[in-house]
Amino acid sequence: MSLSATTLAGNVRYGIRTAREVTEATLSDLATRDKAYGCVTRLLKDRALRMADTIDARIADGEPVGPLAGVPFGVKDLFDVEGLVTTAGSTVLNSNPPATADAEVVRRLVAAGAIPVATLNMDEFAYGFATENSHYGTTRNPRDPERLAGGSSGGSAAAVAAGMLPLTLGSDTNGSIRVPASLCGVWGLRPTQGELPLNGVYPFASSFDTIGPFTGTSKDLRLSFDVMAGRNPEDDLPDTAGLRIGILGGWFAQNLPPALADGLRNIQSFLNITRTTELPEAARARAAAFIITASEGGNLHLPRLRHRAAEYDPATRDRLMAGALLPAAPIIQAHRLRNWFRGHMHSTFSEFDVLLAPSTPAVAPRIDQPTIMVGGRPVSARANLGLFTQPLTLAGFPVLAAPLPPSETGDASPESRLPLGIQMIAAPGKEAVLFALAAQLENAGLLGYPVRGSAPQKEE
Amino acid sequence: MNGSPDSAEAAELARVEQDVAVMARQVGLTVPGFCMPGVVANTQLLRSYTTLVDDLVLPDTCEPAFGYTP
Repeated sequence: MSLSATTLAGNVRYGIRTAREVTEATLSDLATRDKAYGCVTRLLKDRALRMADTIDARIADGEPVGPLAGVPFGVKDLFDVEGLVTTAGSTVLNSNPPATADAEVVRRLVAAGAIPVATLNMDEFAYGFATENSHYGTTRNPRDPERLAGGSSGGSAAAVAAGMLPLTLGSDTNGSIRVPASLCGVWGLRPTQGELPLNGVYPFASSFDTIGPFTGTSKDLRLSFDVMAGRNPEDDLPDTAGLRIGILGGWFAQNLPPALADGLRNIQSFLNITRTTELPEAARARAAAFIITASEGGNLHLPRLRHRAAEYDPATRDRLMAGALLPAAPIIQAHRLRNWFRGHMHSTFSEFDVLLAPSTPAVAPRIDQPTIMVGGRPVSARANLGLFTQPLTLAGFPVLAAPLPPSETGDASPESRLPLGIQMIAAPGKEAVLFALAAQLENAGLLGYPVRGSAPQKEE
Repeated sequence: MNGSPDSAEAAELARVEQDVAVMARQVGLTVPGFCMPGVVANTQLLRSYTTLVDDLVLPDTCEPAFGYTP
């Protein structure tokens, strides 16, 4: 049975299970079950077992081991792991030297007792919402393996949804944590931009690059974030009574699947939310995020694209090339629009503490038919799954991606049982408010989708 | 001359392809033939977003949000 990171750490600390037992079971699980999903690119067996033995020895000696003692975790393939080449989901970087140290956030998790056990699949160079990778394969959605896991941190989201790992790390430039979290039915966090250090993380578009955790519970999400951010997970969370909560309308109220609209309505009713608000020019905000991302990603790869274009994943390569050709005027205009949009966001958050919005306009698309319905017509999933995440990227405010519970009122079709998620947005630095509200809604049964093996599975 | 929508679309694609070739030369990039259809499609998409961004009139005092802090 899958256990949360919090429970696992407690079991290890109090001697109910050893870290070695947990690590061996996790490695065995990944080696066998992941064949169905394609989340894992490399298992870190020797290092993981060595670290587990160290933790067990420290516990035996009565030494402190940290709040994540013995918790196995995986990292998206763009985090440095000491001794491994950081591939960023590509083969283009294969001749780079191995990393000489862990990425800073990996180091912080390890210092808290967590054990890295695997690197995880992604869209090449994090440029996509699908985790269809021509080098390392397609990651399948554990809720329905005929469907995409979403991306670009698809391996990270799917490994948690499958109940194979209680904690993984991903990156979010335009929605790469929030989109797969929604499609796989797990928790994810895009923290305030700049809150977590990017040392040892391969870049994509530095104006927006952000990293964060995926977990199966909101409590684990908070614990892992607090450890990585150097905050105290024992601190009290803010009281949710009196929070000024609103629903985002306009752009964010269009193209909603019925189950998502129902889920938002249930939350609205439970919290007695009476106010909706709109962000100005959300479509242009999304466009600006698109342009800045394409230009920065294109510029980053231009030296290699001049000589080694054929080595790239074709989908990534063509996007990067087009981005590298953008003239200066729209890029600068997009950055001016970003400044303007940020002002409006701060103005909005002078009236609200939390805003709620959908994460994706559709459930996970089928791998053999990667389209979603937007505006009543089928469009490319790869280009449109970020419809609701990209405008918020522009502001850099913290966003907690939360799974709605399995729909009880939908029709009998398998699609009606697939996960969908919402975005909970707060002002910069206010992650604790999001964790408090998330916990309240999870306790009320209005958020949270059980990971496989954690409870009787409803999605089968 | 054929004035059908298909031919108009083909002419537009040819124009974008020429633009791509020119812009690529400006940054020292040669777009291989096997990449051209994908690069053209992505360039068209980016142009639609460029239009959206350009059409918002911003005050002269609105500065770019570059993140550099000395």
